Amino acid sequence: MKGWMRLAVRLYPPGWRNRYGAEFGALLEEVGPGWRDFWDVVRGALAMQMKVLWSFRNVIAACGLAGATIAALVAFQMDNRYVSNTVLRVSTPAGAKTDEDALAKQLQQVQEQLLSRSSLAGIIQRRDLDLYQPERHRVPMEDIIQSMRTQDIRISPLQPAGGRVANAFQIQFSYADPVRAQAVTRALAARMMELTAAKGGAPDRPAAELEVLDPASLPDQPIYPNRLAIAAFGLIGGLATGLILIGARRWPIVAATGIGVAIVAGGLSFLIPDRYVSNAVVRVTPTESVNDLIGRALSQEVLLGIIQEPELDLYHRERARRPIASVVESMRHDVQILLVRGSHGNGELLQIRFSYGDRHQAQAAVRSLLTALREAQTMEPSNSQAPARPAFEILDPPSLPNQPVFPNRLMIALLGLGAGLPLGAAVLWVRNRRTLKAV
Amino acid sequence: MTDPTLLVLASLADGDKHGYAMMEDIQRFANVRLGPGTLYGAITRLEQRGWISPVQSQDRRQPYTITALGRQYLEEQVATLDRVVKAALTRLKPA
Repeated sequence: MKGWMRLAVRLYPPGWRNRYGAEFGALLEEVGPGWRDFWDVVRGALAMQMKVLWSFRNVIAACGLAGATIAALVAFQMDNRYVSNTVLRVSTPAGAKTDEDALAKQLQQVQEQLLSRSSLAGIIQRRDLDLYQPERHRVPMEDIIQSMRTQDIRISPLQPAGGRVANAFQIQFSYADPVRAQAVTRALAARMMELTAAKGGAPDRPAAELEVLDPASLPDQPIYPNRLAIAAFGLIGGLATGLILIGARRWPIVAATGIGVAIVAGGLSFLIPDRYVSNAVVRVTPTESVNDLIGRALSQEVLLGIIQEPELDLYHRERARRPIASVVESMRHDVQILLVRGSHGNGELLQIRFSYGDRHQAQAAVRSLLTALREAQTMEPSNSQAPARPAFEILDPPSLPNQPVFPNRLMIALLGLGAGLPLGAAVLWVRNRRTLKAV
Repeated sequence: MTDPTLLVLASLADGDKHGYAMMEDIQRFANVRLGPGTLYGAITRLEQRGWISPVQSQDRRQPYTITALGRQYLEEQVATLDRVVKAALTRLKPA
């Protein structure tokens, strides 16, 4: 038994053994311990270890280290991102008068065409580039194009001094492979030059000229991820988690109330139906005000027709409960037709958005709204003074949303946590007051 | 009452004792046998809270004494227990 007891005593933390080891040994010699005392000593040693383990310094250090390690591991799993950039200068042809506003509008149109669905899809699928190969197996093409347009490509003017209109701009493209990043940047610049050259035609308004000042660079260093920064964020997150754990151990009622309210709020959020948003971008050329065109496309009869389309069958439950005029008003709230930018003299860009509880129906409804918009344009009153009307052009077809835009369940649960913690603190305060009164 | 903390304080209330003496004393007045691990868990807690302190000793056995703070805490706890015991006895009488 003495050997077993020595082993059990060794389970105590070294600091405790230094302080109490001698007197504890003397006690064990006097007691003449049996198996019951052996288990009592083991239990005491484990409790003491837990106490030491849960010391402020240990918990903070362990959580900080764990946070930094996890973040570093994640950072090393992330793909590198390389950015290639090129600088182009725009100018008017020699002899032509310089109209900076017209030049800016012309470039704006070129940029819209460059970033249109068909243009980007062409670049993505080019055999020599073959971009986003892994993503194309998992994600719809629309989403890849959207991500390329909003995250990977950046076209920004290089602002000259004196507040004049920029005459040079930079095209940047970020990708996981530096060689392809350079090739895509080069392709974007070449396409932009082609589109700019094609914009000319009118003798009084010749096409702007684009000139490459800096050719597409071949990046040698990734700009992302910054692994040191990610590890530092992990460390800070770990330290914060450690503080929360210590707080939860010290004030378990507060922690339990906070977590309980967060779970209830998160659970209740599942009672809120999902909302998906599908959107499309179209170029139209109204001879009248664009607002009149939108007004005709969203008229009572048009919306009613879309709602009652047998393939769509929108607002089925609402139609059973409410008058149809009220349902049409609901749809009017769910539809948005936004003018993307001001008039360019060569058509207006409209974004059509529709939010609905079913993602496929949302997409189909936007398709029907596009048809309605096209018909509304066709039905416009004829105007002999108006220029020849170009075709109704769909730049971005209706998207099929993958994720609901509402409700944000994580945010609801976090709000629940935020509300639950003060509630728990209040419960603890009331309980402590009652205990004090009782004593 | 089996709270080891209170039992150790109660044992030290009538004089300084080392671990084994406390075990024997508690066994005698409370009929509770504290194991060595439980006893030293309580001693560690009480010393950290400043309710007991070690006194000079010539051998390996370390005697402890109750501090003023420990005595005050013990008095408060005993008063509470006394109220509970009295209330329970009063309520048991009619039955």
